Amino acid sequence: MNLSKSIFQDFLPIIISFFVGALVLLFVGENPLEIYSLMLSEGFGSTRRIAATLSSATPLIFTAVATAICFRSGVFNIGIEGAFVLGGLAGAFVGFSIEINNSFFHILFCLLAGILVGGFWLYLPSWLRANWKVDEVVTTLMLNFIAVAIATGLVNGPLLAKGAGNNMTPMIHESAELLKLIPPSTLHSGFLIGIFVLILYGYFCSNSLFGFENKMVGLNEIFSKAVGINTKKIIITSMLLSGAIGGLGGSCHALGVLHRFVEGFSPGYGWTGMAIALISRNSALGIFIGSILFGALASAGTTIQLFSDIPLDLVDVLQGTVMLLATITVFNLRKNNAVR
Amino acid sequence: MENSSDLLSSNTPIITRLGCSSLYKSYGNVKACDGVDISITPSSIHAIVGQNGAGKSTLMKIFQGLEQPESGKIIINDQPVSLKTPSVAMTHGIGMVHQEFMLVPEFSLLENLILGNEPITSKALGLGAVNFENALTDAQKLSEFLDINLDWETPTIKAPVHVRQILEILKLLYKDVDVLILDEPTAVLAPSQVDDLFKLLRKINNNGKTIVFISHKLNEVVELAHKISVLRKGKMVYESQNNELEVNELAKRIIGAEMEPVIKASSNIPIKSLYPRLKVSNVSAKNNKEIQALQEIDLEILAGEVLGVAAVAGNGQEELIDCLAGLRKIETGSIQLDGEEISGFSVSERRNKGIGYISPDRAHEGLCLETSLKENILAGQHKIHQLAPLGIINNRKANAVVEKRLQEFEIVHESMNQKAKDLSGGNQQKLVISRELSAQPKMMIISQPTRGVDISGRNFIHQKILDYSNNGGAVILASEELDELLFLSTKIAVVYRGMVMGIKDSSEIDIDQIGKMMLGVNS
Repeated sequence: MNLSKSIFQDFLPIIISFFVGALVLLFVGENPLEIYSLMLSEGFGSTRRIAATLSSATPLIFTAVATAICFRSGVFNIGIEGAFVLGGLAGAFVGFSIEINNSFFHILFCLLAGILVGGFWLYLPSWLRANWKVDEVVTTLMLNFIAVAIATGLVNGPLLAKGAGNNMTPMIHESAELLKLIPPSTLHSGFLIGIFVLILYGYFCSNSLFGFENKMVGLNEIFSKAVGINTKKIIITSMLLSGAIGGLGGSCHALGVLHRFVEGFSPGYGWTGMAIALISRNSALGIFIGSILFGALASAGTTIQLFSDIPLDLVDVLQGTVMLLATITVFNLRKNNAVR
Repeated sequence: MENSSDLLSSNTPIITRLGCSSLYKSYGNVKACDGVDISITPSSIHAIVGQNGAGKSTLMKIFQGLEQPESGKIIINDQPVSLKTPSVAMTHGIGMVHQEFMLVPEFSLLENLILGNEPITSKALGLGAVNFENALTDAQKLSEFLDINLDWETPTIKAPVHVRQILEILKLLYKDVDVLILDEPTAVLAPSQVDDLFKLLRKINNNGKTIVFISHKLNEVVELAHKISVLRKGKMVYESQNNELEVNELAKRIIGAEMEPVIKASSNIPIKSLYPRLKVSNVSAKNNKEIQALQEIDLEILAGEVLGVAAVAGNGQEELIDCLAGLRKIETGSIQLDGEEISGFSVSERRNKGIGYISPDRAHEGLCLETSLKENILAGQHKIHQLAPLGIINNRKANAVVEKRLQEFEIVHESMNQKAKDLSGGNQQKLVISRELSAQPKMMIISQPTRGVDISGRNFIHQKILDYSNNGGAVILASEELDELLFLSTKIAVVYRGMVMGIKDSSEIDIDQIGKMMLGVNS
C-alpha cells in the first residue's frame, strides 16, 4: 500500500545527494546531466562495466549486512571496518602461509579464519555492552583504530613480504584465490558468497526465531526483558555474527581482489556499508540496491576522471551527503534506544 | 541573610504568605487542579497530602512558576501575582526542593551551595573570580546557625543522601528563600534521618520561614505540620488544624472512603489447594536508588486465590512485583513456585515454569507499540507454543494462534499486522492479557490491569482474571484502585514502607481499615 512511498523516503538521501552533487558540478561550470549520464554508462554501460560495478559492490554487501544485523537489535556497532581489515589479514595469512592442494578446502580455511577473527574482534565490546552497558559506539569506534594499527604493524614487520617495496604480505597461493567470474574484470566468486549471505540475512529477518528476537530487542529492550527474551544473549550474538560477516567480507576481498593483504586494505568499506545499512533501514533488498549503487559510484568515479575534468572527489561529495542525511536516521534510532 | 518578609510587611499583618483561589489546570482530559483554594499563613508548616495523581505536584509546580494555571489566582502576601518562571517565584521568596536532587555530583558541597549566586571578587567587566573565602565563611555561618556539621569540601557525589538533601535546603536559604516547598522529602530517608530532618525543619521554621511539605505518609505529617490540606482528584477536600482527633478522618479523606461499597468476589468458589502455589518468605530488596524498598516480605498464594496488594504508590509494591517477575534481584529471602526455589531464575526461566506477568507500564514493558499485534502476541510465547521448531518460525501456525487470541479477547483491530500503538488503550491492555493468559500459566503476576481502560474493557478484563482464578490459577494483583482490589481479591495484603502491615480476608475487610493501614496508621 505505502510501499512506493516508503521506498521513496528511504532513497530520499540519495536523491538529495545527487541534487547537491549537481549544484557542485554547476558551480565548477560542468553540465551535471552530461556528467551523470557519463557515470551511468561507466557504471552499467557494458558487461565489463557491470562486472566492475558488481566487484566494487561485493565488499559493501558484507559490511552492510554486518552492520544491519546489529542495528536491527538496537546495537550501534560501528566496528565493522576493524573486523573487515583483520578478517582480510587473517584470510590472507592462511592463504600464503599454509599449502593445501585442494583449492576448496584452502579457501574454506581462509574464509573461516576471517570469520573467527572478525567475530572474536567484536566479542569484547559486545560483552561490555551486554553486561556493563558500556556504550558500544565508543568501544567499537576505538577498536577500528586498534585494528588498523595491528594490521599495519604486522605487515610492516613479521608478515612483510621479502623484497616488497610497499607494506604488504606475500601473495597467497593460487589454490586460495577465489575464482574470477568474468575475466579480465576483478569480479570474483566472493560476490556470490555475498549474495548468499544477503539471502540468508533476508530469511533470518523474516522467518527465524533469532531474527524475531533480535528485532524485538532493537525495538524495545524493556519489553523484551519482560517477555523473557534473553537480551544479553541476543546482543552478544548479534555482535559476534556482525563481526564474523565483516571478517568474511575482508577475507573474500583479500582472496578475490588483492590476493594479499596490503596497508590501506580498506578505503572505508565499513563506513560505506554502514551508510547503506542506514538508508536501506536494514532491509535485504535495500542493502542489495544500495550496495550496487555505491559500487557503481566507486567504479564509475575512477573512470570518469579519465574522460572528464571531474575528479574522483565528486564521488566523495555524493557519499558524504548521503552519510550526512543518513545520520539523521541514526539520531532518531538512538533517541528511541538510548542505552539503559 | 535578612528576612525578606520583614521588608515587605506593612501595617496590617499578612494572612496569606502563599496561596491560590479557584485554580484550574488540566492535562488532556485529566483535571490535575480542579478549583483549588489554599491559604498558607506566614511562618507556618503546612502539609499537603493526597494519593498519587491527586494534584499535589501540579499545584507545587504552579507555585514554583514551572506550570501556568488555566484560570484562578495565585496569591502572595495577600496580593494576586503571576509566576511566569521559577526565577520570578524566587524573587517572591519561593523555592523548592525536588524529589530528584538538582546538584552537580562532581562539585563540592560548597560549590553546589553557591552555584548561581557566587560571591565574586570584583564586579568590573564580569572579570571577577569566585571568592571562595567569602563563600566558605557564609556557608559556615549558615551551618553553625542551624547547628549542623558539614565538611564543605566533600565532593557531593560522596555525600550520603540525607546530607545532599540538607544541602538542597541550605541552597534555598542561601538564596534568601523564605517559603520552602519540599516534595516528599522523607521518601529517600531512613527513619532516624527523618527525625533529624524534622528537627532541622522546625529550627528553620522557628526563624520565621514558611515550610510547605508534600507527603503521603500520615504519621510524618501529623508529627510535623501545623496545618494539613488534603487534595483528592484535583480538589481540596479537607483542611485541618493538626490535632489528633482528626487523624482518622484524614485517612478517610485521602482515600475517599465515601466511595460506594463494592461487590465482593466471594460469590465465586475457587478450587482451593492445600499447598501454596507461590511462597514468598523473608524477601528484602532495594529500589533503583539503592534504598531499601522491601523488608522481610512473607506471602503465600494458593491456587485459585487472588491476593491483592494494597499500598500507596512508592511503598514497595512495584518492587515486589518486579522481584516476583524476575526483573529485580532480591537481597535475601526465597521465592518458591510449587515448592521449587525460583528466586535465582531469569524472567525467561520463570515464564517457562509457568509464571505470567502483566506489567503496570503497558506502553514500554507490556507491549512493543512500534510493532504489529502479531509480534506482540508471539513475543515470549513462541517457545511455549512450539511455533519455531529448529529456530524457524512456522508462520501458518503462528497466524492461526494469533487470530484465535484476537478473536477470543474481542480485540477490535483491522489486521494482525497493524501496529499495537494504533489500538485504543483498552484493546492494548486486552492484547497484553491475551498474550499472558494464552501461555496457560500456573500463576499470574498482575499490576494495574485496568489503568487507562474504559468501563467495558475493565469489566472484560475483570471477568478474564476471575475466570482464570476460578479455574485454579493463582494471582497476585497490585492495583491503585481499591474497589478493583476488593472486587477481584480473595485476600488483601497491605504494604507500607516495604513491609506487610497485615493480610486480611477480603470478605471481612473494611475499606476504612485498608485506608488507614495503607497510610501506616496502626489499627
